[in-house]
Amino acid sequence: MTGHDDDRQTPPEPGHAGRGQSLMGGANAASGPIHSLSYDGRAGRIFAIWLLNLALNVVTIGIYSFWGKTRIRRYLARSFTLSGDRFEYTGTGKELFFGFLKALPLIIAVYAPLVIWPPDLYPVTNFIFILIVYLFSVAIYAALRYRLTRTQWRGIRGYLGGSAFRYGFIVMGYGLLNILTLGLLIPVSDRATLTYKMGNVWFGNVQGRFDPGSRSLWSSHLITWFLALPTLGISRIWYAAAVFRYQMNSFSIAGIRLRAEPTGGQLSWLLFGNFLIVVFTLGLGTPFTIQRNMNYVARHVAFDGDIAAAAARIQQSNEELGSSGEGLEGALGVDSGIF
Amino acid sequence: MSVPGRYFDGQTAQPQAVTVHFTKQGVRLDDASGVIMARWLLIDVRILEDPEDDRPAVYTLESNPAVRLQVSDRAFHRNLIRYAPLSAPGRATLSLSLPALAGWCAAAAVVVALVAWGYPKLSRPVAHAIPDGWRNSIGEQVVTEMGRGKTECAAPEGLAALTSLSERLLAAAPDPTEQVHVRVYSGGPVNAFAAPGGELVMFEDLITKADGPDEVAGVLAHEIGHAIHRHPTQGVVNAVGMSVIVQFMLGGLKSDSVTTAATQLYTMGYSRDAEREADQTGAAMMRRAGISPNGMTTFFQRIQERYGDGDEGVMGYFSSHPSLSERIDTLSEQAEFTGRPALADAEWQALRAICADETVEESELQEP
Repeated sequence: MTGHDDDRQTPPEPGHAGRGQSLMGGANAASGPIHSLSYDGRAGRIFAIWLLNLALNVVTIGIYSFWGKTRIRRYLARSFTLSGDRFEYTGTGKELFFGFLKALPLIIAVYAPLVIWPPDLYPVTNFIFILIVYLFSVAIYAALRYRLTRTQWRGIRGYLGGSAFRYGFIVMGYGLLNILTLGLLIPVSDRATLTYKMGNVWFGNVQGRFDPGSRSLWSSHLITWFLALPTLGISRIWYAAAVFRYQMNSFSIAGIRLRAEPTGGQLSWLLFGNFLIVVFTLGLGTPFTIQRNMNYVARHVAFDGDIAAAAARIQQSNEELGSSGEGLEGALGVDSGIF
Repeated sequence: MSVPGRYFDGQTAQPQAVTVHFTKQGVRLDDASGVIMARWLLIDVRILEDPEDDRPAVYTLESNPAVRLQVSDRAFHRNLIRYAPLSAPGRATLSLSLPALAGWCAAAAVVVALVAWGYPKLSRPVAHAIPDGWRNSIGEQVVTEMGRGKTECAAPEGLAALTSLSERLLAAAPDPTEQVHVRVYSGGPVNAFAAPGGELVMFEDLITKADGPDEVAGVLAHEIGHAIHRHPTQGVVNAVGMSVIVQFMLGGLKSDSVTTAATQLYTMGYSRDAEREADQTGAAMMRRAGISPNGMTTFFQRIQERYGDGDEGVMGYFSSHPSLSERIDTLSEQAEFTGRPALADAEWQALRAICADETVEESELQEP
């Protein structure tokens, strides 16, 4: 996106880097050692878990899916290594299941009027559609919080501050703006939502910082926006890649900056390949698309900074964990995030 | 035994290199300088992850689930399992032997079969419980969709003939409270169908290819039979319910195409029982209305001569019906019955010309 990133060399030492190399370097080139994220999950393993999940889901008419999802997430989290230590997912199927049960009445209350009301009551149904968009954003934010609190590294867990309801209003407000402007101002809304979300990410007792600086989404947005019609929307994949770079490279926590430089071509190849795999295996290849996604994340996301120094100052936070998770998201059937 | 380990206290992000001593009384952790850091009771230890490939085992404590101890040594893990056979709930154990997996898949197949067989039995009472308002609005949508690009024929005399025929049949129905509304769309196929809410559609080709009003009356009676038994609503309930169930069952499998395909395979057409039911009700109605059910029989016979025994189906409409021979046999049993013609000659000619009047604008269809 913005060509100003300093020459990013291949990570010097993949596994166990970051032993006390002090944070020297120039003022704008915050270049401590670069720690790559490594992933060693095996597609065969994912396939086995996935297939068993599928069978158990059918046998239990879907109830098992909460436990199955958890099992996959545990395996995937464990397969990521940063600076010699693996990530860990501590969520449980029970939490997901109870979260789903809690959210169910709300979902029914929102969707029922759509079914019962005669279609000529448009003001009511339109209002409900807006409400559903709002609930979706709230659900995504709440689910991200659940996942962060259940994801830990070196025994320290993440957290997402802020309010899911406020996030919902931000998304809804800018969504309205995007509709009125035919999407011309999407970078404004993306910046606002990312700033709220990423700025509220915590790791232990340290809050992240989201500072785009001179980065901008405008050039990629405008080019791909004008090309969207002739390319049937495919050009927007390049914008999605730009947003990913923007989101990662603007984020830092405890003196560690994230780095990610995937190109639109690489993202297109990932999505196109996944599409072909799912279509030609009638869905049975889904585990292999998971494997591809994880490899993609590991290949493109790196951590730039003195991890040992950061680790020395990070402590566990005392935030409440919350007893059940991502109910709304599960009930709405959305699935976001990488794990 | 003493093995190296890596310890996290759950409070700081600092890893600590430890030496782990295993005795039958418990586990002792010494820090790098040999000072005792902690003693773990065996009964307190929980296994979070088994060692796998080159991944270390991970342990924690029941009394302090925030701590983590990683040990790569497999012998240590075996010892621990032997003397402290405890594991944390949610541990990622995978009993994935092939026979087990095959067993679960077989069980899944049985459940699928049970649902596929049992669900239609459930959809019937559900269809009858659905309020009329819903059925009507669904039916209107279906009918509009089917008529896209076609003209609704409305020559007044033809329409009057058709309406009086359907009213006459309906009056002879076992449950005359049911409302139906018949309309004719221009062109083909040689087909008729019933939508929820008593909305019936006939195509022009069926009327022009029919050999006399009794045949049209036979088809109409059959469709009214469907409407009375609420088969169309049942079909919709089946389709919607099955897609939800399939989606839910597939859980992690987020492929809409698979769900849609499975649902469509399952819900195509009515069951043969439903067709039989519509046949019987239709024939009974015709007799009570004083119309010979022969029309139904001859119509099926002519179709059979032309297309063979429906099953292999050149014609979508008849492919889900009981085999034509079977239906002809059933209906012929009532063949002695002679009634008056379903429509007077003038009415029949008017019905055949129902689409001749092209004054109806297509816009009427476009805007329901």
